[in-house]
Amino acid sequence: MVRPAILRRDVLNSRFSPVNEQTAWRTSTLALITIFIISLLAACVPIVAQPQTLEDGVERLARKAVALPHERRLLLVWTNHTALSEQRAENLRVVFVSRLEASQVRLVQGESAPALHVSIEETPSQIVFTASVPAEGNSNVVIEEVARAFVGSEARASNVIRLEKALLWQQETKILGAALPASSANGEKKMILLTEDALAVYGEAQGSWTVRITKRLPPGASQPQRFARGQLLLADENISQVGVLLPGRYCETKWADDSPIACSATNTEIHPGRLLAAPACGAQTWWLRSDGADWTSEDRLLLRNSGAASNAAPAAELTVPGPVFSIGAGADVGSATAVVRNVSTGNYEVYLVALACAN
Amino acid sequence: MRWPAQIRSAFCCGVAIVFFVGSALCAARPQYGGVLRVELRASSVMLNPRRWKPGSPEYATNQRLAELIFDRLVSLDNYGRFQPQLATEWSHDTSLKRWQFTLRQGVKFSDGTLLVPGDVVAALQPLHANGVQISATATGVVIQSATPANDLLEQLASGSYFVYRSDQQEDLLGTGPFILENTAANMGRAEKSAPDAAVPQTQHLKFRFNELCWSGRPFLAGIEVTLGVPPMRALLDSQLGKVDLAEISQDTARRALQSNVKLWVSSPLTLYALKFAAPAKSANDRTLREALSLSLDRNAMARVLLQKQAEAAPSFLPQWLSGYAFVFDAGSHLERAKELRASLPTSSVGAAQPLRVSLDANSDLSKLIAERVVVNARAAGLTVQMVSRSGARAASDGTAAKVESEAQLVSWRYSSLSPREVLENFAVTSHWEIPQGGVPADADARYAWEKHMIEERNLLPLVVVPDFAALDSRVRNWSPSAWGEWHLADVWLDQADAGPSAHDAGAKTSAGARP
Repeated sequence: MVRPAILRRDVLNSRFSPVNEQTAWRTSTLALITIFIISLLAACVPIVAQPQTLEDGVERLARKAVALPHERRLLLVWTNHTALSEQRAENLRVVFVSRLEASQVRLVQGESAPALHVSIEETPSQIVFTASVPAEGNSNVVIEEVARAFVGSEARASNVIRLEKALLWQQETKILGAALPASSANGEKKMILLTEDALAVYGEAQGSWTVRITKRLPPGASQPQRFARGQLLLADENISQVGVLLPGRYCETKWADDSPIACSATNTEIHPGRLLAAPACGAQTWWLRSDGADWTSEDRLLLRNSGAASNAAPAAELTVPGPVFSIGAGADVGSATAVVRNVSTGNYEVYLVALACAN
Repeated sequence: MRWPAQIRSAFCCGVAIVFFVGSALCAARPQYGGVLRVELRASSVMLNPRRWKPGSPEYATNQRLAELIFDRLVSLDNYGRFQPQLATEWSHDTSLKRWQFTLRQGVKFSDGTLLVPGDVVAALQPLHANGVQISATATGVVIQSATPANDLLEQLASGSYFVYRSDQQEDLLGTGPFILENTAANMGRAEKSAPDAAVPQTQHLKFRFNELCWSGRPFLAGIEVTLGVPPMRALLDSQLGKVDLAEISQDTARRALQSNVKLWVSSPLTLYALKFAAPAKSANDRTLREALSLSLDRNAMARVLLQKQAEAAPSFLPQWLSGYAFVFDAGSHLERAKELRASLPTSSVGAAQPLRVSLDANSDLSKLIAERVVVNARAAGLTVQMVSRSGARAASDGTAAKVESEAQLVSWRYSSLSPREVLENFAVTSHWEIPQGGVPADADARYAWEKHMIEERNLLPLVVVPDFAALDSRVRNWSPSAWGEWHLADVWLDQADAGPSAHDAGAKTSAGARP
């Protein structure tokens, strides 16, 4: 076939290279045939695709199970040997049951029926679902795997750590530090606050804190207002003593009585963080520190594994409404107090910050 | 000048509190420095991953030392997540046949040269089976497989898939946290001269930290490894504080539990099994093997004989690796075994003449398991005779062991996180017929193939045994993987805890100093 001259001219004038129409026809036919063959091959060759969620995996397991020869009435025995929470495993069981019931399989409880065993197991990289389907005195096995990496974070082991906070106290005047001494079994909860010029001991009664004792700091311990800072230290070996670490001075007193505060010179630096542990979440210890970027904005409390570098990614973090002035002792090894200046209200606030397992 | 008593006591308390805070800080904070002293059972080591023999007992030692000096593209953490190592990103097509890996920028080998994609190709291509092609791109590598490779990451995160490079002297260079110091020069050359054999090297290996390591300097200044230490001596050295980390055996682990030594136990990593020399040729052969298999009380072997320090093995793959091993029956069926034995002709092997099983005369654990096999078989009326492998060799010039015994008691070390690859290595080593396209990666098909091979009864799995190690109390941040990787780059030594027996080299290093 010969094209009209005008068309040939258009071709020659176009910005594309002229083409040999015969070759073009052959090429397009070849391309079509190739696409057809590839499509055919793609339809024939099974693509091994793993399910992306546990629910997807359980659905596929149920479909495989009902495709096998099986009894009409079955007793479902559901076992979870993984770190998945019982709630998550129960949700998966519901998915499995609904899929089986949609396929006309009757699952019975408390009746005599062949047992359909479903087990959830864990390998280094996979969650493995196995169903043993009974049929005529024998049983057939179907298996489905889901990559553990696809499992949601809520299903991970319970040793994932998080931080929780609760507001204990707020006031307009400056608070330098706070600490919660461990209380005896039936004793009153106590809170010690360090201000620029005094140490105040509070007791909790009916959900509110009331001041019990106030002790003035010795004259030599006062600081310039702009730079005032301090930290309360509680020693495990002497629970009635409280130490007050100020720039260049170390003071000490008994917090439960009226004894005066005695101070002496020291070179000890105020430590900006606190070492915590949560035995329920694992054996490791954690450093709680503040981000401390800017005293005019909200701050973050960062929790890092005690072995991690100071700039390592934190294992958990918690936003607080202003700069963190100090971090002090909590009532146990898994908690601390944080003194924060709320940038919205200008108040000084004391928070109880506690470690918790993510589950 | 005398201070008032109150001030004095306050100051003392203050010092005590500060000391308390300080010591708590030191105990928690990793310390740089110190030399970790390690004792291993293997008498030789081979660092070239291409020459490692899958399943061999030496594999674990080779792998543990190689991970000190080499890195992988990816690793697997204890939460089942693949973590970037030399590869920072990876992706695959929908068919899982084409995988693209982007390499970390600026990674240097221990001689200061940059890691380039060609190094990865050169290191990994020989390790992959036919049908897998690795090619370099501008930023990484592409791995193209003829079949869907849905376990590629598991493969790359384990076994021999280390990235390394040979320098001009053909020594192996790595990017890992340590550098082999004393024998680096002759290790590669020795391996070259005897490529098919483990080369007995000096009994001591020294590793020092690699300043150029992309993941940061390890806490330890060095590691001293002593090879060829028998488990009992290793335990004694551990009890005496002469060593920080000592590989011990299953029987010495029991003693370690009774002493004050910290004990580490891995997942079960070594399979003990009865391997028949040839496939069953007749119906009688098949009956004999079935009867023997049914007579075995694997649970008693694990619980009583090995005192719960092993697991019964009803299948080739352990439960921790396959997730479905519990489906196989590990129980003993003695009555059925007796019935089968009764159906055997009186002149057959196992009846009139004993079934001879050879075993490694140097392995106490093999002997212990073999004796129990003989007892179980006898209960079913079968006659099994154990033949010491070294004795058989002595009697008939080395090759007689296979000729004179119908079966062997063998051990197999799991060395991959890919169940498919483990089964495939198993099949290749045992000369089994492998399906076209290899052992299936899909769990259903893999289970079916494994079940079929177990029913063939060319190999009767018995028990799986973990690895054991004794640890000194000053070893901190010990966080090995359940599958046996020691992760020594994360370990640090508590130098304050170093007793009078502590090693001088460790005590002299700069405790607590950060680089």
